[in-house]
Amino acid sequence: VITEILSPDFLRELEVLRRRLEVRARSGASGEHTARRRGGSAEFQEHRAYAPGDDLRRIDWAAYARTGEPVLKLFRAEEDVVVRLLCDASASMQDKLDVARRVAAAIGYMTLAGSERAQVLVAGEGLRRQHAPARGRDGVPTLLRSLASMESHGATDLARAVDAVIERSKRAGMLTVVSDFFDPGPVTRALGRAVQAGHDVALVQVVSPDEVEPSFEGDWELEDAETGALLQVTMDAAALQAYVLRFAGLCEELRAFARRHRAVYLRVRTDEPLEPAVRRFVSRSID
Amino acid sequence: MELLAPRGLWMLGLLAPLVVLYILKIRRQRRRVSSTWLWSTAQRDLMARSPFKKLVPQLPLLLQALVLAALAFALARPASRGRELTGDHVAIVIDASASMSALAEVPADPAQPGPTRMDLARSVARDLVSALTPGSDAMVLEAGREARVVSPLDRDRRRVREAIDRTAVRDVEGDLAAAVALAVDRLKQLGGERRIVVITDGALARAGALAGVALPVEVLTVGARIDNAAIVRVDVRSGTDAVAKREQVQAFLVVGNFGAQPRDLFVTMRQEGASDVLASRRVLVQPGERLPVVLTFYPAPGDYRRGLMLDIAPHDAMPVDDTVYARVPAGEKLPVFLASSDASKPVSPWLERALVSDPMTEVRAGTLAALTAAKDVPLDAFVVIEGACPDHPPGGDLLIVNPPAGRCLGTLVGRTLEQPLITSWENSDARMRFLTLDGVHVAKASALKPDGTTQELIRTQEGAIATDISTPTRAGTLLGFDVGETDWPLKASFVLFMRNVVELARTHRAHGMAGPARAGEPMRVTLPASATQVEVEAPSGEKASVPVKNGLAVVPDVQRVGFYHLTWQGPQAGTIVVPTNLTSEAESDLQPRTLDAQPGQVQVTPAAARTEAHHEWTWILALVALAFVLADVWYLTREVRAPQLADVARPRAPERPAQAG
Repeated sequence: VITEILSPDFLRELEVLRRRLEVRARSGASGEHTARRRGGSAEFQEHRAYAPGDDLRRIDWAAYARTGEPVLKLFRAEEDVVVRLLCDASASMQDKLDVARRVAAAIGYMTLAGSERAQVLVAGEGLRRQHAPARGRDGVPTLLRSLASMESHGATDLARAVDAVIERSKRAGMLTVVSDFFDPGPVTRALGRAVQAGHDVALVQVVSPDEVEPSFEGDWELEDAETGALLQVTMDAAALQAYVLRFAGLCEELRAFARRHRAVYLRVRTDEPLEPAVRRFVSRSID
Repeated sequence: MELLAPRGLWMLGLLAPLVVLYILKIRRQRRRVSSTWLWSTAQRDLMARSPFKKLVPQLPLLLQALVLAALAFALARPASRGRELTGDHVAIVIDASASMSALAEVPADPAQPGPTRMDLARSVARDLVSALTPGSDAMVLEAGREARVVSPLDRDRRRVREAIDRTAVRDVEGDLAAAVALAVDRLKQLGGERRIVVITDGALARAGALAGVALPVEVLTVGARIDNAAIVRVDVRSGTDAVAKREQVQAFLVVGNFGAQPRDLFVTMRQEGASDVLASRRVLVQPGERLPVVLTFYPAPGDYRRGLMLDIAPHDAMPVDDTVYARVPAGEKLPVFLASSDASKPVSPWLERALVSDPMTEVRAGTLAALTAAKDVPLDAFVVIEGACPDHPPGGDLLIVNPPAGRCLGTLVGRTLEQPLITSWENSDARMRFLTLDGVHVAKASALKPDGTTQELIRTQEGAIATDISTPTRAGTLLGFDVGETDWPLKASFVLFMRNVVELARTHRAHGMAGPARAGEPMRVTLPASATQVEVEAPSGEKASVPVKNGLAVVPDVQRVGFYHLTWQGPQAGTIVVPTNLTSEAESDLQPRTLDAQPGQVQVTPAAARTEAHHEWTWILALVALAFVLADVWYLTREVRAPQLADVARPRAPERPAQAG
C-alpha cells in the first residue's frame, strides 16, 4: 500500500522533510514536538508571578532570593501532536482524490515518522467518517489503508465537517483540510472556529488545470458533479474572464484566512509533482 | 439618392431570423465539472430557462446585421444623380410608335431577348421623374399616331410614375410633332421654366417633327443600332393562272431589309386560323434591298373573303412588321342578279343579253320575291330589278329599270312621258362615258324627280328619265323606261352603258366593303344601309360597338395590326374581316437617324449617356458587406486567449449564502 501511494524516492524526501515539520498546536500527551502550552519539561520558557494554588515546587527560589518576589519557573511542555487529515471525499473530488490522498499520505507519513499521531477524517456532507488515530511508524499502514478506503461521492459541507472535528477533538492539533474548497458554505468561519479552539490549520486546495484556467470553448452545458445541476455556458472570452475572476477570489479568500491565522495554504494542481508542494507545506508557506 | 430597385430591401427581413438565431438557445454539449458554483455566479445571466435568452450586444450579431443591411441596400441599387432635371413644368413625351416595340439592342442570347425600346423609355422616364427638382410638376404624353395625354401636370411622383407605366406601344406610325405640339399647348399658358423631354428611338415617320418648337426640347434617344427585316407592302388580288386557266389568288409583297447583313428569309402564306401553309418561298434579301415576292394559291369556294396571313421568318428584333394581314378577294366573276317584279313578266332579254355577253359575270335571274328571300346574295353583287323598286334591295350596286310610279329610293317616279326627246346626258358620270344617245328614241318613259341634288343622267325636254340613286354604300342607277320600248338596245351606246354599269360594280367589288386598313388610322367600313350598329372584335379579342350611319361605320381606335371582325344585324346581317397592317418603312428602319431639329432649341442626348450620370453605390456596398463578412470570420475564428490566474489583478470574492453562525 505504501509504494502504491508513496514512491520510495518520495519517502526518502519525506524522511528529510519530516524534521522541519512544525506544528503550532497544543496536545495532551508528551512527544517530540514542543507545544505552546507551558508544562513540565526541562526546557525553560519564562517566569510568572506566583498565584495561590500554584505548585510550590515550581517556585524559583534563587529568583525569590534576589528579588523578594515569589515567581514560578515555567518550562515548555513536550507533548505529542495529533495531525488530523480532513480529506474531502465529495463527488467533486473524483478526479482529484488520488492527489488528495497522496498529499494526505505524505503529511501523515511525516507525522508518524516523527512518532506523532495522525488521524484520517473523511469529509462529505459533514464528517462522513473518523478513522482511529495512528501513532509512530507502525501506524503508517493503518493510515494509508484509511486513505485508500476513501471513495468520492455525495455533496460537500466542509463547515459542518470542520465543526464536527472541533467538537470531537479533546485536544487541539494540526487540522489539515485537503479539499478543492468548491463549497459555497461558510467554510472560513468554521476554520476560524478551529483556530480559536487551538488547532493549527493547514489548507491544501487540490485543483485540476481546467479549474484554474478553463481551456474549453464554445457552448456547453455544465453538470455539477455533486448536485447534478445543469448550467448553460457560452465559453467566450467574457465568460472565461468572469470565471477566473471568481476562482481567483476563492483562492484569495483562503489565502487571506491563512495570513490572518498564520495557517498554511497550499494550492496543488493535479498536473504538478507533489514534492514541491510538500516542501511548501513543511515551510508553512502561503501560496 | 434613390433606390433603383427598392425590392432588394426584402433582404432586411432576414434581420429578424438572424436575431432569433442569436436569442434562441442552442443545443449544447454536456460536460461534467467538479462544481458549477463559480460558473453560476459568473454566468448568472445564462441561467434563464426559457427557450430564448436575453439579447446581449455581440460583435458577430452586429457584424452580421451590418452585412445583411449592406447587401439589402446593395440589391436595392442606391444611386445618386449627377444632375437634376431642371424646370418648373416638364412634359415627358414618350414615343409610342411601332418601332418602340423593337428590342433595345442585339441580344447576346436569342433565347433571352432583353428589354424593348419601350421598356427602356419607361425606365428613362421614371428616372426623369425622380430627377425632378422639388416643387416642379410633370405631365406624360404618349406619341402614337395621335397624341394622348396619359397624365396631366402633377406634382405627385408616384402618380406620374404610374402614368408612365400605363404607356404602351401602338402598332402605328408615330407622330411626335403632334405630341410635342400638344405639350407646347399645355405648357405655354404656364409661368416659370418650362421644358419638354422627348424619349424616342429616333425612328420617326415624319422628318422635322421637332422643328420650330417654341419651348426648349430635350430629346433622349433609346435603343441601339439593330438589324430588321419587314414586309413593307402587300396587295392580294384575284387573277387567272395562264397555264392552268384557273382562278388564282395572287399576293404581292415587298420585303425590305433594313439591316447591314443579308437576310435569308422564308415567306409563307396561311389562312387565318389555319396552320397549313398555302404558299411559301425562300428569299435572300440584301442589305437595303426591297425585294418583291409573289405568292399564289388556287382558292376553294369557301376561301373567298377569309383572312390571309403573310409572314417572314425567322422573326427578328421587331416582330410586328414581320407579319401582314390580307383578305382573300372575292371571285373574279361578278355575281349579277336579275329580278323581275313577278314571274309573269320576265326581265327584258335586252338586259340579260347585255349582261351575259360579259364573260366575267355570273348571271342569275328570278323574281324579286326570290331575290329578297335569298340568303346567299353577296353584299357586293350587282342587282338589276325591273318593274319594281323595293326599299331595301339586297346586294351591292343596283340598276332599277322602269319602276312603278311612286317613290323609289329617294326619287319620285312621276307621270308617263310619251315620246320624250332626249336632250342631254351626263358625260362626266362614269356610267355615261364614251357613249352618245343621239338618235335614241324612247316611246314611253316615266318622269323622274330626285328629292335632293341627285344627279340626272338622261334628260328630256319634260324632265329626267334616268337618275343616279346612289347611297354612300352602293352605286345605284334608275332608268325610268323599259329598254324594250326604246331603240336603245339596237345601238352600241346601250352595250357601253351596261358595260360601264357593270365595270363600276366590279370596281366597287374589288375595293370591297372596306379597303385595306392601316393601324393608327380610322377604319371605314361600308355596310348595308339597314345596319345601325356593328360590333367590332379587335385582334386582341376586345369588342366594341360602333354606330353605322348611312351604311358607313367608322372604327376610330385601330391601334393594333391583325384581323378586325365586324358583325352587324338587321335585314342584311353579316360579318366581314378587315385586315389591318403597319407596312411602314419609317417604323421598320431601326438604324440610327439624325433628328431633323433646330440647333440650339433641341438638345439630343442618348439616354444611356444620361443614365451614366447616376452614381450607383451597389458595388461599394457590396465591398462593405464583404469587409464585414471578413471581420466576422476573423472574429469567430480567432484564438481566444483564456485569462491567466496570475494576471488577475482584482479577484472577485465568491458569493456565498448568508454565513450565519
